[in-house]
Amino acid sequence: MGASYIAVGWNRQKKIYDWCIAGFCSLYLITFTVITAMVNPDYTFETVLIRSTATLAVLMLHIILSIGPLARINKKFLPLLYNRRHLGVTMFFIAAVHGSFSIFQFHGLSNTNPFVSVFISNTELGSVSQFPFQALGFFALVIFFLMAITSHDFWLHNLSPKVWKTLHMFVYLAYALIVMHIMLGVIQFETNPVFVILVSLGAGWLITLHLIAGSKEVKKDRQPFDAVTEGFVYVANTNEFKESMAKIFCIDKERIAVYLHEGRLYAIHNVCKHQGGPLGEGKILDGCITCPWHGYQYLPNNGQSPPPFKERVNTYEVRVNAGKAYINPIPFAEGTEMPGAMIK
Amino acid sequence: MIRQLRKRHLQIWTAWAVLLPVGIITAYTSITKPAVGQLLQPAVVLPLPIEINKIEKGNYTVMLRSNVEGSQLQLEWVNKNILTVPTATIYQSVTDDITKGKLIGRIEARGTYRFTVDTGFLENNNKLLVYDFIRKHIVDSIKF
Repeated sequence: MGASYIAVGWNRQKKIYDWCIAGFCSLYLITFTVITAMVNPDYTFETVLIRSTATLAVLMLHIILSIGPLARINKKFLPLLYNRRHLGVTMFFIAAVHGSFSIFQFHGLSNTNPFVSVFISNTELGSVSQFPFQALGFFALVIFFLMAITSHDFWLHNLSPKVWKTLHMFVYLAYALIVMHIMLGVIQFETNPVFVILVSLGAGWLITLHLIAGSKEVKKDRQPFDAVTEGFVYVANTNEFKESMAKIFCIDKERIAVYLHEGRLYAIHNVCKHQGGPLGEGKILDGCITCPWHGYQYLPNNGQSPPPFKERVNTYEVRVNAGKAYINPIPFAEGTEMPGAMIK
Repeated sequence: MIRQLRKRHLQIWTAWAVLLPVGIITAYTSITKPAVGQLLQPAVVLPLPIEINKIEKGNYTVMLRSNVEGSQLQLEWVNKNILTVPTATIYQSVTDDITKGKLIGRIEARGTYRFTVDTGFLENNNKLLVYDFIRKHIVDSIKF
């Protein structure tokens, strides 16, 4: 979180993460080149660059799209989510190298503008095997470009979280475009079935992961609660809570995170103001509820970010009676002070 | 994540669970079977045994070969690297005027090519012209 914007808020974890990304990409590109040189000595620099960056970008896209659902299924994957943008921007650069060299190699030597040539050199829109697959990759690259240049909190705040999130959900369209770019492109010319198997396994993996994570969330949303007197709803026994951790309850279609902090239960809206991260899946660090996605923090007693930050979330009233915790699901205004309920 | 976003994620992936397999299967079943026995050019003939002349260029090597009796002459063209022209034609000509040249054969960006040339090729002071017939200009001129 930041009161002012800096290009990248480096910290030790981010540096380690980025070094891992750089190391992985370098190792992949070198390995690909060496294997190509051994198997096919007639290779050219352009060809090996186009192929290695293409396969690396596709692999990275699969990793990026796996992180979200994996983190929802198992909290151990949350550290990967924290710096996912760095992986996304790196993937865009790798994909851009592939796109640039492909356009240069296949369209750069004609009299026509290379970018125009991508669209007019093949107009077989009615054919599956002859479909102009390069245009699909081009559109996907445009989506990755827009995502990469807006992958910063400056744009998140200026575009508004809703617009920003909508723009970034176009990554799913880009993924489908990439799958068809491969299937209608290289697969049409490669006789080795291993490529089709890999693409199918990748798509199957992502679809399964997202559907499992989505179903898990639906189940959580449908958890029934019985209303009791004065609008308070019984949610759990107090001994089910762990210090500095939360339990999430979905009441009246809203998710509420109930935290146990220093012997008191506090309830706040579960959605982080930054990117909609699940506050209840974080923990209390230095007295603040810390979003597991990007580290935005809120005080448990009033849902306000500590000064000088200005983010605020709704708070809820909690009551404890005979070892049972109750919540009033009607929210107080964002940042409203609530003293919390003593568990003993 | 807010409820609406969770719902949208699930809707998108449910749609992809149907559409992506359909797309993959459709594309895979539409792969054109390779044509059998329809080579764009005839298989490369065997090289003649005697190397008469050889010129090394950046991306290719050009050789004139003959049989032992000297009654046949063969032009051997070896692309060492991929040419910047995807396809070109080779002419023999005394001048740089392509319209007065005689077509020897066609080469592509990679591979080795052998063509029969007139036995009087050298005596008649011919040279080879590499002609890009798409852009209509002479790419190279080779004099043995």
